[in-house]
Amino acid sequence: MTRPKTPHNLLPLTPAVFHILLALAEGERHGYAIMREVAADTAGDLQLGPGTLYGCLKRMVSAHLVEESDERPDPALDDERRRYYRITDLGASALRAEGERLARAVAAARAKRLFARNTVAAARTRH
Amino acid sequence: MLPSEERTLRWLCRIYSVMLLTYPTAFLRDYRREMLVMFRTQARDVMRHEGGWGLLPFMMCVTWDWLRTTLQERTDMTSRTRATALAVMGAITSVLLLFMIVMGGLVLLLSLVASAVTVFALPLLWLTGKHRRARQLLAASGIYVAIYLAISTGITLAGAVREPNLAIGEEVCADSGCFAVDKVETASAAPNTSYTLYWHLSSRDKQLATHFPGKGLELYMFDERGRKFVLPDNVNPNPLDVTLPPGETVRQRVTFIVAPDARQLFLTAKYRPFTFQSLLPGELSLVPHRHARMIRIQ
Repeated sequence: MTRPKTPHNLLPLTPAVFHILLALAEGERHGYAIMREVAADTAGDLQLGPGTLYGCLKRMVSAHLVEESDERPDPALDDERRRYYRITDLGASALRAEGERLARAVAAARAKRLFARNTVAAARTRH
Repeated sequence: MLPSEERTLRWLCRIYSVMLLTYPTAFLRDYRREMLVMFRTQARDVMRHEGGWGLLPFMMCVTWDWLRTTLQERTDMTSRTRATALAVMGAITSVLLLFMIVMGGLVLLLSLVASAVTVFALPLLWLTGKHRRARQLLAASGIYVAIYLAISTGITLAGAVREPNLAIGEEVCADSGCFAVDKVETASAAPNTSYTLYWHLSSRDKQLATHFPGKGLELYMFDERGRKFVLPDNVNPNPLDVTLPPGETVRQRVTFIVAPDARQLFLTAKYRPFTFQSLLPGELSLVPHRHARMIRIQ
């Protein structure tokens, strides 16, 4: 029996999928724009090659996290060969759920004083 | 952008477009054009901001991405496609295995002819717009070569384990003749030791003269530490390349210079790489394997 498609069934998202959804959260983008946005969001830590990006997009389209857009945001400015993608409602929910999951993980790590800032702050409080 | 940079970019795009052929057809149908556009834009940006040398790390990243995702997309096929592919590969393997064992030389010859045809046909198909055919031909060739290498390696490994060492005076026979070392003489060749081996090669055919397939067959000795001792440069590198008169025996000698601390010595022969025989099933191996039939000299 297949499980119903809810955002929580899709968690945890892979870093590539999470950042692609994040890049699409602000609007429709084509592949190259997604790649640049992801590189900027992660300060260059996550560089998506064409194979990784379109492999992820293929799986995300079939999982209904994103969909292809028929419209060009500005056809005059862009190459008509490019395909645009937009986030779906399910994708947006999955992104929010993953964001919350990561926030909880970070909060748990902070509570255990795993981050330098917390350690320094704790040391200052003690003094 | 300079014309030379445009040219480089065009060439890189061509190379990438060939690399894309390894992805599954369905994936290419959906994303090939976009991947090419993205690659071209990325390469142009790298060239603008980092110059021509920046393309080197960029291409390395792209190659790694291509390798990883090709495998990923290939293993992502539907179970039905996978079952069909496995069945086809199984059938090819069985037929090839049978033919390789029975008539290895003919199979190799046919494989070389097929490879030559593929090399000529691929660009023709591609240039005449038959991209799908070209992709199918490339995939079929790749599968065939992989199976050939796997079977050949298997035969080599299986054969190497079974065959025991021979002693001096014991004959090792092939289709065209029997070889044996009859006598060994040692002498000091300070700081090394020289070993002169007296050997014979006798014909197995009483009616016709036969040519022993010794061209490209390297005769060498090695010791218990795996050190290899080859024939000196000034002697015939193919001593076993001889014609045997019907029912007769050819006798010759060879001298090897061996390190003085070698305690165990063996004589063996192996076809040099890239000779016809070196590609035969049973000779070609992807992994290092034990030496072929060995004669214990000391």
